[in-house]
Amino acid sequence: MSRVELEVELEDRPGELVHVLEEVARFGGNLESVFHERARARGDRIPVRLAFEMDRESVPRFLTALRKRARVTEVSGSTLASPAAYLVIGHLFQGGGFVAIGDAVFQAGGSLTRIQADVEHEDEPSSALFDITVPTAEVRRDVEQRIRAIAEEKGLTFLTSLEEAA
Amino acid sequence: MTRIFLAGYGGVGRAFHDLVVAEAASLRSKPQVVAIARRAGVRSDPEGIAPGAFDDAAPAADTALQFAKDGAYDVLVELTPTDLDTGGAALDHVRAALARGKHVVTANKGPVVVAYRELMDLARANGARFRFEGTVAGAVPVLNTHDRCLTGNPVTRVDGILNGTSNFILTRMMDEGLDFDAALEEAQALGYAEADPTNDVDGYDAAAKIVILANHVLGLDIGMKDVACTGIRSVSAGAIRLARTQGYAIRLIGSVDAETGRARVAPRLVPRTSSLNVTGPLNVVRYRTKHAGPLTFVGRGAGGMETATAVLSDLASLD
Repeated sequence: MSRVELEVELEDRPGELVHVLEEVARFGGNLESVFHERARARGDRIPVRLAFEMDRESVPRFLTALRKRARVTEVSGSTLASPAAYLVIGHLFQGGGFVAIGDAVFQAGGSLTRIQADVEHEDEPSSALFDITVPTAEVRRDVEQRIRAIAEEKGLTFLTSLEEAA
Repeated sequence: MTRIFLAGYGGVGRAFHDLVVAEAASLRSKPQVVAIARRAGVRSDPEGIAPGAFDDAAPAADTALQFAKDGAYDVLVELTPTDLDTGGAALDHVRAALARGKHVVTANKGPVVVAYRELMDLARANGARFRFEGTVAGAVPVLNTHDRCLTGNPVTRVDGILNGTSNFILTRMMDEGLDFDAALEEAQALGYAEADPTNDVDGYDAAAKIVILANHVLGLDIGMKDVACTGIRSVSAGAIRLARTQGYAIRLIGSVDAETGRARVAPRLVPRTSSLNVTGPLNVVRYRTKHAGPLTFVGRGAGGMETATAVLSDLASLD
């Protein structure tokens, strides 16, 4: 079993949380806590943090199902997270690429652990290194697809880290 | 005695000629160069040709293709300039030789990239062998090692640095803080990069090698159009500096995976402690094998004599 913590944003109306809890139950999750953070409401959306245990193999399918019902903004779990690094080169800050990449990581279910940037002059291409953790290989692929799409749209160069051979 | 028809007499051709004369005694077949095709035409001598003997000779009437079709030889060593789009004249030379049942050894990527299946089938149908160790990673014996030593232990994935020029440029950018243009200029001055560096720095040369590895080692059936290719022109000095502070080097990595069939060449972040982080003009190839994990091969990936040793090892495999 793996311990999973995640944050979803739910619309502020009755029954939304039940849908999420149904998905946890459907994939055999054992709920530990639900924290409904009305004080951190973003417009009409309310962040809800969940912690539960679930069979490791079920987590990717659970996340896929959950994303169809709710906006997952963060996934973390000590037994799940594996690191990845991405380097992006180009005009990152003028065109909004930097912010879009950060959002994409969260939207896909990854967590940013560190961002470092090299900026010499605003007219010159800059570069940023994003260290992230992802709960599953599926999320990693999703993160990469999203960043690749942003890079193509904004004319940025996107470098992934090479996985060491098992 | 094995009679060699040497087509192409540039840096690799001349180095091979020197090497085959110097090392003839170590090969069972006692190879001897009996014909050489240059741009001016073909000169031949059934008694054997010494290196340099034809340098000042008048042009001959035969073309390389004509000699490939009807000349007297046992093995075609095809070392004419590479054309990755069409296979070039080399493809015609190779077809003509194999159709006659003559063995072919080449370091020319063009025919292998454009017509791998056709040429392997043609060789098989005519009882000939088609060998091309020198097309991938120069002196590093990655194809013959696969063919001779990895039976029953399939390779499931290949990653590697397959272009020495771009690796030299990235190494100089990392070590000296040079920008891309300055490092390219230095590579050109030292003879590592050609006047038109497109094939090297835009990744096409590495992509061609990935195609060869994919088809021959992984048993896929892909061409240049199937390799997603990004070069190193947009890699900035700042990006290399940033990667370095976090324990990474930036390297142009070619990869192909047997399961997904996905092939690509792109600059990647490589942990500086990785066995794939080789520097300067070196090449590295890592096979991921089904039963024994990773196997990594490192060595000089370019240079006349280095490539000539790969050609000679193919010749020896025909013994």
